[in-house]
Amino acid sequence: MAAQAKILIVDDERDLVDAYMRLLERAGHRCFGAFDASEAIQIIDAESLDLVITDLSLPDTSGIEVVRHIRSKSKDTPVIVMSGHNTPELNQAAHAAGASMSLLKPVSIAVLRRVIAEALAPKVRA
Amino acid sequence: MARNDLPKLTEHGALNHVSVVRSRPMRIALYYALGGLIWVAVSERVLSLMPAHSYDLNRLMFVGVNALLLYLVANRYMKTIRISVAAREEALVRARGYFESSVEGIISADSNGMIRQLNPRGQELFGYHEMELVGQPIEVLVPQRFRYRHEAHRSAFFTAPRSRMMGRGMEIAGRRKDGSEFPAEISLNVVHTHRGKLVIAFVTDITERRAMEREARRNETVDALAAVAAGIAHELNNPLAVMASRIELMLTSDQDLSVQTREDLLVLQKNIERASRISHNMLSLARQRPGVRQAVDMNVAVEDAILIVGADAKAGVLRYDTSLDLSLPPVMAEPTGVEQVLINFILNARDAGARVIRIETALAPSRAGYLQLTISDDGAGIESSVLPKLFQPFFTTKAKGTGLGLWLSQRIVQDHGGAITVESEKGKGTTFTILLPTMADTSSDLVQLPTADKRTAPPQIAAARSNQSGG
Repeated sequence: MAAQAKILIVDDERDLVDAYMRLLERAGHRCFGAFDASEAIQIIDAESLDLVITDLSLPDTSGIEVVRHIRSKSKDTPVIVMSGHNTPELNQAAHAAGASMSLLKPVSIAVLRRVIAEALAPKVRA
Repeated sequence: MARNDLPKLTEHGALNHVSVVRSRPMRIALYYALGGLIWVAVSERVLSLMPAHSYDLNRLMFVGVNALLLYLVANRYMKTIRISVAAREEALVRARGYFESSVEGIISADSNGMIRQLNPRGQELFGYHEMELVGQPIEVLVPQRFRYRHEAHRSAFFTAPRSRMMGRGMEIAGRRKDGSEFPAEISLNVVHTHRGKLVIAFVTDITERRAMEREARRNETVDALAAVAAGIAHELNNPLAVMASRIELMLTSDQDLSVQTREDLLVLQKNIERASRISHNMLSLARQRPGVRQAVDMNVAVEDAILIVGADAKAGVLRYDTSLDLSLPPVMAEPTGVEQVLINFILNARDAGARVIRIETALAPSRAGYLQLTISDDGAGIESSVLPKLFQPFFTTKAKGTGLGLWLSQRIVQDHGGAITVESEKGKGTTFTILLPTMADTSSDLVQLPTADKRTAPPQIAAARSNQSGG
């Protein structure tokens, strides 16, 4: 796992953002938290991030806007999308906007760890 | 329906030809009278034109012309008869063809309700030979409990007969020779013959249609329930995620947690994971269309699933034994769907008290273009009486099961064009076999989104299941 990655976590559930940040910081990463899309976009503009994890349903606009914004800045930054809805349309829209991966909430910590590790050290699995 | 293709016998050409032939003698007499009248009117004049005529010649001419007239009229008459007989024969052959080859049972009965004829399909439906039924009252084919009512209906029908469906809106059943019954749809038609009215009944066995309707109704109910379940599950997701992450934080903070507190937290963690799994299942229930598909290496999927579930398995008690064919082509699949199926099967094996779960991947030996994944356990096994119900929604043998895991797994696998079969023996363990088309085989399907009706299971499932339920 790459040490000291800069990770942005976007979710309107403050308790969740807080917990994920603490978990990731404990793993040695630098974390930013945002509770809505505009906040997230500000952070994306200000920081050069290594990974973005965003919820799809945000209070101001869809998380897809966050995905689009990061894609307009960087082609390679991995973006993990989390959603409470398992609709294919939503998944497709997220992937079309440039999300690297979509997860169905609630995401278990073990899965999240693995996904983050994979996103930060992308390798083609044989 | 086939009924519309069948011509009504009352409108049949055969009857028209009969009436044509019957009116012919009248016309013959008319032609003859007309010809004779003309001849009588003109004979004097014609004979007087002859250079020399005698009384004998006169008589000879009269007979000759009469004979000619008779010949002409009779000739036409015979020709018409020949044509109508041929037409009638053809009509009869055609009618017989409809009768013999109809996919519906056809029964004719006279106004006393006595059976006159029964076509081959009718014999097949009711299990009688035609000879056993001709002359018997039609009520023989009606279940005992309907017979009295049927007789009353029949009398009423004959006083004002018209073509109609029998017992619209009511359950109609036919009674076979062995006393068993089948749901039927019957249409009644009346034919007028010179020997009286004849009722012709078209009988369709609707057992299959009924079963399909039942299945459709059940699916509707399940879908409605699933929508509610998914709504609830969605609301639970965030609270569950918050709880899971906080517990993880506490567990990993590595500070001075007492042994008891640590154990309590682990129990909490395990139960939150369980709740999350239920929530995931509930959410997946409501999915209507398959999601994004990509190339999935089933071997990796197996390893991932073991990794995810493995966290639950107490070390040393449960062992995974894998034999993976690394040369397998990938499958075109929804990664989360496939993962969910594998996790469901592993959890089932674990819940059945398995000590060893053996997972094998290989190319399907019986079907080209498919891969085969088997998950065998040495757990409690499944009662053979329970096997047929295994994939029904809300069917479970677990005290805390939802009864949705296997149903959902089958739905997912079927969505991917695959099939699941099960083999089990009480006390010896269970083997589930999943067949999935590999990408080499499905590449042609990629352009068209898989919208095939997921309710109709590929036929091999039913066949395979019935093969194995005996074992």
